[in-house]
Amino acid sequence: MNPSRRNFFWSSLTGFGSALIGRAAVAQDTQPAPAASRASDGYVPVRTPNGVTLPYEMKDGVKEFHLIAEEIEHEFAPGTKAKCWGYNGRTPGPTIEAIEGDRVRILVTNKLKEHTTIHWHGILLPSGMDGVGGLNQPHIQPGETYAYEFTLRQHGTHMYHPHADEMVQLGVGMMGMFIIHPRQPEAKLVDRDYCILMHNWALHPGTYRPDPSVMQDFDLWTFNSKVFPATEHLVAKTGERIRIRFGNLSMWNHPIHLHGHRFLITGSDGGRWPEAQWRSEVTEIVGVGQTRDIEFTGIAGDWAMHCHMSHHTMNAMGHDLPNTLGVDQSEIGMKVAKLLPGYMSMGENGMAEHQDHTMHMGGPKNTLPMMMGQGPFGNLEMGGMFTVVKIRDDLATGDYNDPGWYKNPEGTVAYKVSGPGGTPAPSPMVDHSQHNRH
Amino acid sequence: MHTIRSRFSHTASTIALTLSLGACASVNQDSAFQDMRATLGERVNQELVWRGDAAADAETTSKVDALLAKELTLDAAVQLALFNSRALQARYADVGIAKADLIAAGLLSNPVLDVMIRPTTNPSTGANLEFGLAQSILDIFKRPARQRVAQAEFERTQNDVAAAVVGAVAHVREAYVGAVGALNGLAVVKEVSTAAVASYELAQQFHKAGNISDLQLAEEQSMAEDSAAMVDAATLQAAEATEALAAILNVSPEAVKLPSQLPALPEQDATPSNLETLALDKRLDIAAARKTVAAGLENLKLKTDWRLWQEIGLSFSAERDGDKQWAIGPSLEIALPLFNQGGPDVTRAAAELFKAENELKDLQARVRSEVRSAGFKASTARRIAERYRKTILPLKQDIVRLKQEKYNYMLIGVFDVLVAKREETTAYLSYIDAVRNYWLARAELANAIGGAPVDTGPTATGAQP
Ligand SMILES: [Cu+2]
Repeated sequence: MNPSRRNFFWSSLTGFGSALIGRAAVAQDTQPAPAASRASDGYVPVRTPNGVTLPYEMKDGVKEFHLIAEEIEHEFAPGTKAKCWGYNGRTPGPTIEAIEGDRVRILVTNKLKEHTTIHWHGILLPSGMDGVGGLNQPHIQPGETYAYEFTLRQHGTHMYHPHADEMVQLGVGMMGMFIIHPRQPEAKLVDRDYCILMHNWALHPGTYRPDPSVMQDFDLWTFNSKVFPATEHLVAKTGERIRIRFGNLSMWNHPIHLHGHRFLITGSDGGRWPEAQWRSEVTEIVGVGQTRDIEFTGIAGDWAMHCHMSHHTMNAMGHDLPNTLGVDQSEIGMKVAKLLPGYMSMGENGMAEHQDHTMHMGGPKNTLPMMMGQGPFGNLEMGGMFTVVKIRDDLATGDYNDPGWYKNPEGTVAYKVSGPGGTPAPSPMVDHSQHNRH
Repeated sequence: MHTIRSRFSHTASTIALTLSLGACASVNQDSAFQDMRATLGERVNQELVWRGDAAADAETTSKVDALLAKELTLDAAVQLALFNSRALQARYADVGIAKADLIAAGLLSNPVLDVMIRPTTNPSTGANLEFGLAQSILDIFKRPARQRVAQAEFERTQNDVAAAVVGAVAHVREAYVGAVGALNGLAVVKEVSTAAVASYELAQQFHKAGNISDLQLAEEQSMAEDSAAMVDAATLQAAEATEALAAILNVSPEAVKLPSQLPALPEQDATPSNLETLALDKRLDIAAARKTVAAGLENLKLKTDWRLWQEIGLSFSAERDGDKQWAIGPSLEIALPLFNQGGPDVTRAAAELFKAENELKDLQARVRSEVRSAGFKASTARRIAERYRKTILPLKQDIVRLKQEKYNYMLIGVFDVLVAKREETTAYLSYIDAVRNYWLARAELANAIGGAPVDTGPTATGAQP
């Protein structure tokens, strides 16, 4: 790792929080350019959307990392903040990245008010380094620093999280990813390597602290602790080989679906799979406590990527609502409005209108509307585990800047054939290219 | 007869003096009423009338009409009752009756003339004639003391009647507060019902769309029907309370224009610190009890002073016997205190005094307790009403607002918001109850300390928080 990149890591770590605030599509300039280390280290550094990579110092041949467990204020998207716990000022904690065979020493300082530990999820190590408080080691008391030291004997997509008061500490945001690159560079080197850690949060509407007691009825579903539209878009160049590593430390399975591509499942916490085991999919379930790597070749366009549990692509919403579909409230609505000034009947014909409603109707404080986001053609009506993979022909290698919305080639956008301003459907006899020119 | 009169001339002056005390003894009811009004003093600030004649009656009727023409305030209701209550007019008559008794006490018992004619068998002598004029002497001597007793009795009656006026004012206040509170409550119960009915109508739409079950619809309908039954009950309550007020005011319920809300609580209660002393000083029943004691004392003194003299009679008699000569001379009759030396009368008077003194002390103790209790009730009623106005109602409104925010973000359904609205309205019902209790407690306190002056009276604005 060259010195300039090291500095960049540090500065991005400290300056990151402010860069995000007030922007739906987050700043893209907080990550290293992957090409930089390609030659020297034999791998493309992983990029953690909305996150950072943990820097290390080389000490007598040992890569020394430092994680500080502490309480933080985290913003899920502009409009919703919460008192969470995390590492080094953030959730998820910085991504640890190393190479198979590395000797690593990870210092863990506990700035919480209760003890903690870190379990290195899926990593082969001496039992005493496994981080289960009480089983493998004494708990790390508030104010104490412990060192975990082991040699990496594998590669793959791994995670870390506390194994002391785990339900609470995980529930309020303590987690991170641990990426180990193979010692032997991969035969098919990827051009861009992303990692996304999934989680769920019981941040009840109007509250400011996740509720760790909730088992199922979560309010927020996150990619790297962000909900759409604050989830950073993934950017790549057409034809590039792209890897996205998913980790799941939530309490639900998430079928991750990528639009516009068939991808291959190439690995997991078990490491990079032999090619014979690779599967071609468009949706892959990432089970609780599992990781999955998907790889694909970029096709130009703006492609949605999201969990396919449709409630997981919503922000806070009620799960015990009276069903308003098909309910004519035209007359009674007026009566209710007399009792409840400002009341608006909704949902008779569906909930899409809701995104517009929330723009002028006030909701509980510190609460995001259920559906959000604007695209070039209108409301996206999404939230939670949703982001956009933006693939462009004209992107420079290593450019992660948001290229804006995709400019669809003429004639490649669904078009209206009836209704106001509609274009008549082409008859089968008409040459499409001819028609498009009109 | 002429001769007889002339011979009596030396006693005529005594008798004339006595007669003069009672000769013009027709009772002036109006002056008796004015005496009572003076006794009442500032305990009641409003105008009192004695509808003793046609002119006064007609004038009062027009004043009543003027009061009825406008929306009736609490003070106006009191005034209206003072003008129009026939129960009070009847009570005023007691003062006239007592006045008559007082005047009667100043009069001597009338002298007794007896004439005796005894015809004889002897024609030459003619009938035997005898004239006698007897007057109780004791009656004359006892007169001042007897008058003092009667005066005390008269004053006691004045007190009683004035106390009845104070009590009537308290009743008007209670009835007024009860009626306006009940009407206000009815309006609010109707609002509660409106929310419940709206909820049910919404539920019908949900049911029609196939989105809620028969059970859920039945539950909504049940709530709506319950609220309709509440409206019926509140309607009856309001009618009864209005009727009670109208009865006290002696008008028909339709004739009264009542405001839609109870008066708001005054910023502060003008409550003097020395309530108990004030009550002992101002309470008319205590004054009456004191007078009973004073009268008892007088009575005991009278009975003691004259215990031996049950009766002393002085009489003059003229007799014409058979010799046709008149024999004239005085005679004295004295009941000799041989068997009854007035002991029982004195014992009775002493017992009556003892009774009166102890009744006074008991009353004083009870009044102190009543005042403390009424004072505590009033201050607590204020605290409760203030808590509703300043804290509970704004809270309930906040809850509706916050629920509506949740509704806006599709976190809860409209039914939940309507339930919150119903709860807010129900809390308002409790607030009305608290305001009503406050005014009732103030009326009770005013009554407990003997009259109106502690009350600042309601402010002009309604009880809307
Ligand atoms: Cu999901």
